[in-house]
Amino acid sequence: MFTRRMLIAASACVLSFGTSASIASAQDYPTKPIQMIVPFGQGGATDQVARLIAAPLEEKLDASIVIVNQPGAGGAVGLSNLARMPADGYTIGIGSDSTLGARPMMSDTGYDSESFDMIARVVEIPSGIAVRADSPYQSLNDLVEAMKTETLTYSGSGVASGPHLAAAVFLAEQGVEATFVNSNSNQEGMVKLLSGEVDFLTGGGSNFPPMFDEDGNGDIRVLGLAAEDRWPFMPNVPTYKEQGFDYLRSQWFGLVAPAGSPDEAIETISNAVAQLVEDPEFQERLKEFYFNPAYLGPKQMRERIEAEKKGIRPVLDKIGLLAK
Amino acid sequence: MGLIASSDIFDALVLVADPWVIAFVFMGSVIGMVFGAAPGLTAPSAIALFLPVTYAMGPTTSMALLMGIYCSGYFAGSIPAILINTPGTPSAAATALDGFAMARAGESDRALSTAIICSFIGGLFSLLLLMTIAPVLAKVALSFTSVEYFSFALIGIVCVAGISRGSMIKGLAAALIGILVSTVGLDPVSGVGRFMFGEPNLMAGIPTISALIGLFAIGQMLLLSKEGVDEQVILPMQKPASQSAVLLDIWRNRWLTFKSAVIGSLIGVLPGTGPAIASWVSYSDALRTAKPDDKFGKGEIKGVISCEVSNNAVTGGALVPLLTLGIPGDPVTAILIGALMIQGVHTGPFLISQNGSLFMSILMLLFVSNVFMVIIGLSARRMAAKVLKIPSGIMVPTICMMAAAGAFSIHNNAFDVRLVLIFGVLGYLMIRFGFPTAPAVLGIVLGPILEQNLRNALTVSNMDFTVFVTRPVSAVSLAVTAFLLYLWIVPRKGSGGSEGDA
Repeated sequence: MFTRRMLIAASACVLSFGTSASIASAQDYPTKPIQMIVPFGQGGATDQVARLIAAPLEEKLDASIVIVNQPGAGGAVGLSNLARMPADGYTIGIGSDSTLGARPMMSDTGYDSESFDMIARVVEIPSGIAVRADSPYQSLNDLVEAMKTETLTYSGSGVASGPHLAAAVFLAEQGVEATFVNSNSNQEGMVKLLSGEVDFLTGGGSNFPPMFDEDGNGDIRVLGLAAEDRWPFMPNVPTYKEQGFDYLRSQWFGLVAPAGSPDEAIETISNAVAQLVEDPEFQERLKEFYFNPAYLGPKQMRERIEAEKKGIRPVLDKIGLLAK
Repeated sequence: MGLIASSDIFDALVLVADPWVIAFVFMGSVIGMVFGAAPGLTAPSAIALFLPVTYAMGPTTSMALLMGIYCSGYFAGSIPAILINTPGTPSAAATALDGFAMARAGESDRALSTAIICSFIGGLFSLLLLMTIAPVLAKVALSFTSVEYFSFALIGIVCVAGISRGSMIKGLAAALIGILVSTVGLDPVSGVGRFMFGEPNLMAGIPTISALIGLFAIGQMLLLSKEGVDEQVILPMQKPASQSAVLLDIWRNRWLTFKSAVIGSLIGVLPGTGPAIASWVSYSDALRTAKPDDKFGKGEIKGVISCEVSNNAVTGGALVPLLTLGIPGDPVTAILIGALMIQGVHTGPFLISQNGSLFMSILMLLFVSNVFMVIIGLSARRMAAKVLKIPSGIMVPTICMMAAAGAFSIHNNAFDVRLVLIFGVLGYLMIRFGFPTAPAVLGIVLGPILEQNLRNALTVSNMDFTVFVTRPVSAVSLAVTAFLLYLWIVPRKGSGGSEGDA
């Protein structure tokens, strides 16, 4: 514990020498570098969100942002460390619907949504279901009907990950069940889908476009995306609603800070994010990663999390993942 | 769809032709040479230590550095094995048998030159295999399910029997310690916490790299600081050897060379094995076919050829399952998965089709690494011996410092430094009490693969165990497993009884 604090303090000191000169007394926050904890490894969707937002945010806030990846346990390691950081507004992190909502209900993670102040929701990706191109299921309805008579298997990126829960909630609402086969990443789940080990795959929409060539040919078929309207990146894929299922579900990512962080810090960052997502240049960059800008302020983000927790609890209980 | 387009080859050439990339291969080769030659430091620990350095590099430069370390590191363990009978890496243990005997007869230069050129041949052969078979295997790999992955991993874990030359019981115990360690943290299939003792940092499980740095590097350093200065071995005047004589040696034994290259490559392809097993298997095969006038164990050049060809043939072979299935073929490739992930490259059946130019550039880097290995090896083979003379008082603290820094930078978490220390003590105790550390690492790497795939396979099949024998590829793997067990265990019953495993 001492070593970590000392090292962070030391590195913060070194960095602040570089920037403190440029930041005059015009504002009270920020006056030193901000540390951003990413609770997943480099290269994943969460990390992409962090790196996308960090650079333009640095400019807006006129302070440097240091990204620290602390992966492990579906985001729980990084977030529980974040919860124990000083609430001074200079340590923030990336949270998501599943890491803030469902994850703490499943095992003793050392944090829950109350451990954090919400700053801003940044982006979202619609959830979807895909099958192999040679699968007999042409629509969500085919799939749901099949599950009434036989046991199908499906996979997604990890137990109680956003995609897993998205499908579990949908199936629960339809009154059907399927066997979940764990994968450690969406890529691994895709392998299971293509090898025929599982019948369908649940995943964030951003995983699907790379599977098709320019003419829309691919080894998979996306049955539906759970968004309000058709997703601009895959306009041929119908929504759940079009197929008669009143179901909306997206994975989203946002910024959080340890509970009790100064209001000034939270407002400053939140307003900066709000301006950013309106910026056409930033929107263009989001498009490259198939993310939809989806800003929500601190209050609305908190409401979303509370609603999420309420909705997911009975489903977790049903699939045997609820711990407390 | 064509897996590798000619444009990929061209792109790869452009990537690799960058002078910085070549410089990094060279740097990697030098680092690998030093780490391989210094006893207690191995190619896996060099890669683990330098992995954090690659975070800030691009995919090609980071692979350049790591491939350089990989090739040279696997070879360089033979230098101290031949010169002072102390294998720098486990894979050079078999080389020491005949190599050191040659050095005592004043033929160390011949042994070293043979080792270098044989390593080059082995490396090139496996590269050819990687080039021809990997794209095909990548397609086949898409038909494999958890059932097959489990059976493959089982072959790997059974190889413990092959590694454990001393006591099979201790080898198995070490492997089980590794598997036990791998169960710490959230259970990957159902998300239940195991052996966490209320420590949130353990939720993610024990990172393989922390365990590896502790078991190998720190364990050895503790051992070194206890034993103090090594006794000096006085060797007779060493005769310089002409390279043409060395080449003639190899040409005379071309069949043995070819056989050893095949054995090394195939063992490399098996998940979770490594150069140590490859060199022992090749050596035992060379023994099996020895002629009456061969003097194995007393300075037979064939002993050096068989070990060195095969332990470097592992490099290309081990990359086949890594690049096509996402399963590590040996401890180094297990770490390479992390290196690729950091670059945002996901290993798995899509790697080659999605990153054709990266795949080609890895092949080219491997070739360049092999060339550098020969150049550096031949030009510095006398100087390399000086690494061995670094006093422990300087080496031990330096390595410990690097290990701590490396451990911290994995996840920017000081908890990992404490883990390294704990595993260092564990590694020290294991070595002191005669438990090999290699099987433990095998266990840590293969434990989760075994567990997840076993459970996934049974989940899909409704707990029906027969899937493992009804799917042909899996059935064949299980048969191979049984055959290997027979091969390694049964003959020992007759000859090893007197030593006693109790």
